Amino acid sequence: MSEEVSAEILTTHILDLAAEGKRLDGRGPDEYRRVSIEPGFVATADGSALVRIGDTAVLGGIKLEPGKPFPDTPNAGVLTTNAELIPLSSPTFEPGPPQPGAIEVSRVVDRAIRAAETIDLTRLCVTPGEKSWVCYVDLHVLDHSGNLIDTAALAAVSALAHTTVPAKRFEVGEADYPLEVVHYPVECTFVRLGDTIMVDPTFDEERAAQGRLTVATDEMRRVVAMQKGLVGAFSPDDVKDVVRRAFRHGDRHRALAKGGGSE
Amino acid sequence: MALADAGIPMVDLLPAVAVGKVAGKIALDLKKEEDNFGEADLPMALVPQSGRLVLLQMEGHMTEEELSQALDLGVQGCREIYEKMKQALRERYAIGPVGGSA
Repeated sequence: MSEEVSAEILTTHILDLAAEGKRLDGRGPDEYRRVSIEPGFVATADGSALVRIGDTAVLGGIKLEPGKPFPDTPNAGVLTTNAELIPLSSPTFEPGPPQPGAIEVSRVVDRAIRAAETIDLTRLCVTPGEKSWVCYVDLHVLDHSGNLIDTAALAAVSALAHTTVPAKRFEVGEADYPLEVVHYPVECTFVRLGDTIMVDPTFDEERAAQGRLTVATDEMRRVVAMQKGLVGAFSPDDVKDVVRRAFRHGDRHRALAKGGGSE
Repeated sequence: MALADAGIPMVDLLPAVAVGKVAGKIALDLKKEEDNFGEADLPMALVPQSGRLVLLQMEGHMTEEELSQALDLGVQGCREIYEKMKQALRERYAIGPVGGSA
């Protein structure tokens, strides 16, 4: 059977199940897959974390290097987020220039980190207008089994929370010191399948979805970012419901991002 | 609007608006300064007949209560624009008096 035909049959099945509030893997509409976080996964990085949500795996790596602040923000360090969807992580990824999916992951994660003021960029400034730290957040998707955004965001925040600023190595200071994470944004993604809104979609659920909505919350009980994705739409009441649910899941995942471990 | 004017069949018109939070207040249709210095920005587009949002992004910080308020305000704004869009199309294609120019 061709891939398109089997995908269509699966989509119909997923939508039929969703009408009864059920999912292929037996989860309820508001249930995440198992989440696990391993901070410090890569010894050579300044900070890192391997995050899994179900079979989806993203490795977050942090690299800090002295550089120059942007002219319009002379008193702040530089933060850049990049996501890479390597071909071996999914049959749909091909080598070559960044795919729209990779750009969306990095932009949505970047937006949450920035809007939540996860790290105080002014503290990454060494000499105003001349020297500041450049913080690279690299996200490597190792296995794509749905819900890349939440997995990548957890990887980014958890890696940042376990980062050491290599001040001694670059002769910027006397000793290396831990990077201070001020706020902990957590993204929470939902898809609409018919009239049911499911949290933490799998790869097949994303393909069947009639709209995807990501909400990022922080520990101050603020919504810091949102992104609607895929083809499809949500009613304003759906959005309010999703925001309520995002706070609940966010609080649980924040604890994991800080300390590592699994639920 | 240009698509509708060209007579291209569409499911619906698509009004869009941005809501934001400026100096702690939720406001509709931000201007440049408000957007640059505001605390939050939330652009949205509504398909009025289905009542669903097809575009929704947000950046900044808002409480759950403020967000709820912002959504309601944005939808209301989109509906206002929708009426203006329909009115403009009706006027454009209104049939003039017999013998008059189109």
